[in-house]
Amino acid sequence: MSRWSGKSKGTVLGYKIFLFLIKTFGVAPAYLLLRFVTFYYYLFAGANRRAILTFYTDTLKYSLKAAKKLTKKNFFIFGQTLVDRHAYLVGKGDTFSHSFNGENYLLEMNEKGKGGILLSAHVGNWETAGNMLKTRVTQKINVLMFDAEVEKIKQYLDSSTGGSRFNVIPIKNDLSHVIKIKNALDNNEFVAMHADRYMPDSKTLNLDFLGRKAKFPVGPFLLASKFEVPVTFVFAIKESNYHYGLTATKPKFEKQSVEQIAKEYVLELENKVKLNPEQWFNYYNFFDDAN
Amino acid sequence: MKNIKMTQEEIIETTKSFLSEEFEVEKSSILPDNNLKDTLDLDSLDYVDLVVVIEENFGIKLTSEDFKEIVTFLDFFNLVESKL
Repeated sequence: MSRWSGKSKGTVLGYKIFLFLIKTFGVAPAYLLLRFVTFYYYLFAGANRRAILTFYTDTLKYSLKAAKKLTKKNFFIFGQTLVDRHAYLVGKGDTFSHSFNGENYLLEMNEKGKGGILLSAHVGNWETAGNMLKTRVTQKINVLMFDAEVEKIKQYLDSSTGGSRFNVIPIKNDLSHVIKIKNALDNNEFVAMHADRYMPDSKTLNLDFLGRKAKFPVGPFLLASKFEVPVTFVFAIKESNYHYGLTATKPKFEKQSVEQIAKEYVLELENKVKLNPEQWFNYYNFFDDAN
Repeated sequence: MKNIKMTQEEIIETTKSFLSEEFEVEKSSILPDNNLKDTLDLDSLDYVDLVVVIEENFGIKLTSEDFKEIVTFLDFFNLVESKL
């Protein structure tokens, strides 16, 4: 798999079992079951495993032994973030504690009244950051996303959990999402999006990332630049089973070019990945078509 | 130019002016029956520019529904006229 396919893995039965466990017994038994599930995926999701393993050995320069250990940890923590996400959806969010470095920046953005774009990546657990922002910073949070769940799973989750707690702006082939983003920003709302994946045929920037060249989508940076709104980079790293560390960078309020924003974003992303390599959740070859 | 009543002729002239500049097309290609997306060679990111220049030049706010019916420039002119 050389690019992100746009679809998540899993089955409806799997989600049903995990939701039952979380609702009935809490998060800990779900983590226990997760040990077996992630081992299964580690054995049989060969392409994903190889992509992560190669990322650790070729890009982050880990030894093969260390990379294998890290890959297993990566699969398990990724599973944990999914469990945590669903724990929030079924009202078990108080299981987790948080620290928030940079919350003042987001409060400042909210006070300025120009809205703001929050750029994140598939590192850590964005859903947690969103939940925290909604309770501590502003109620007006929109999340721009691809419809990444398989339809049957999406229907099941929506019916059993009530669906996402944020206003989701789905990415469409027409320009409806662009107008929704513009209008949300004009209403002093935050719009959060990931800026590390791109779909085939979308415009990209070729940037230095961890000592290699990698492609990043132009769209998120273009939106921030053209709409002239403050932009910050937000991450939620899982620091232990029940604790998340959130960070937000100091926002720039003056207009910046697409390239400027993208370069600063990549520097922050590099920093996060180096500090938390086990939470890099891009299960495809991030660099293959860039070199 | 912010929310002042314009005739359709004025809307057409204003539109030709800013679209030809922003998207580097000949004014003569901006004709009522021509396809807007094809003529301007718009990709998804160009829509960001389009939204910005429409707001700057006409001072109108669009909704996500507005553009679903827009195929030709005439559809676009009619939309702007209805919003002013």
